[in-house]
Amino acid sequence: MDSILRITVRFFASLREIADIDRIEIDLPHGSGSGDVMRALRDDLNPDALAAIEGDQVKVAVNQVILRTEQNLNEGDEVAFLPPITGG
Amino acid sequence: MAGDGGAIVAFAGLVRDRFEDHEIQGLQLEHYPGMTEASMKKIAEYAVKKWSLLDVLIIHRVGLLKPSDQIVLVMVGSGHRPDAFAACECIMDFLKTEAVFWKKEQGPEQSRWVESTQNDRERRTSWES
Repeated sequence: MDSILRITVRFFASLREIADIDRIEIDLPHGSGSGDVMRALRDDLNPDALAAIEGDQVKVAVNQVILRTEQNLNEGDEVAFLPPITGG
Repeated sequence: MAGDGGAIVAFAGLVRDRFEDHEIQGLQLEHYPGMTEASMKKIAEYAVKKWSLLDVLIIHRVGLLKPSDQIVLVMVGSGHRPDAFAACECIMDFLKTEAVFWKKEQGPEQSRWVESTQNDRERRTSWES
């Protein structure tokens, strides 16, 4: 029963607009990593959104921490795609 | 601030009504609850380590703002003004490049997502030297 991980994926700002969705829950095989999220999203996102989230400037956060390297995922993790940020 | 406080520097950022030759009617600010606050705390902590400060306050608005609305307030207290001025400016430069917000300028005919500029990035990097 633990062979599937349920992950929440979130999209912000321009990526949310392109994907036309702000969050989605996906199931991944146990042992999946952050890089597997992209593959899992192929059935859920339109081609423009898939291209956008793979952009050079897009950062990926797992549980609100920016990923520096590939990371294994756990049940309930939140993966977020973040376009370039700016405040102030 | 206790009795050793000798300086408070405050910066308020406002929504402009133009970008280049485009009219701006509104600015939509989006954030990632939790991660945004953490990014602001990290910026404040950087300033506290770099200068001798007594207190730091950062207030950043989200949602739909109109021209002349205040977006951000930074207040820095210190014993003397040089540290307070420098820390306030540094915090603003870091907010431009490190704070987890997204801004969309809305005009009468078009809207655009704002990104930090090369100048913003150079100013931010200059504090690390």
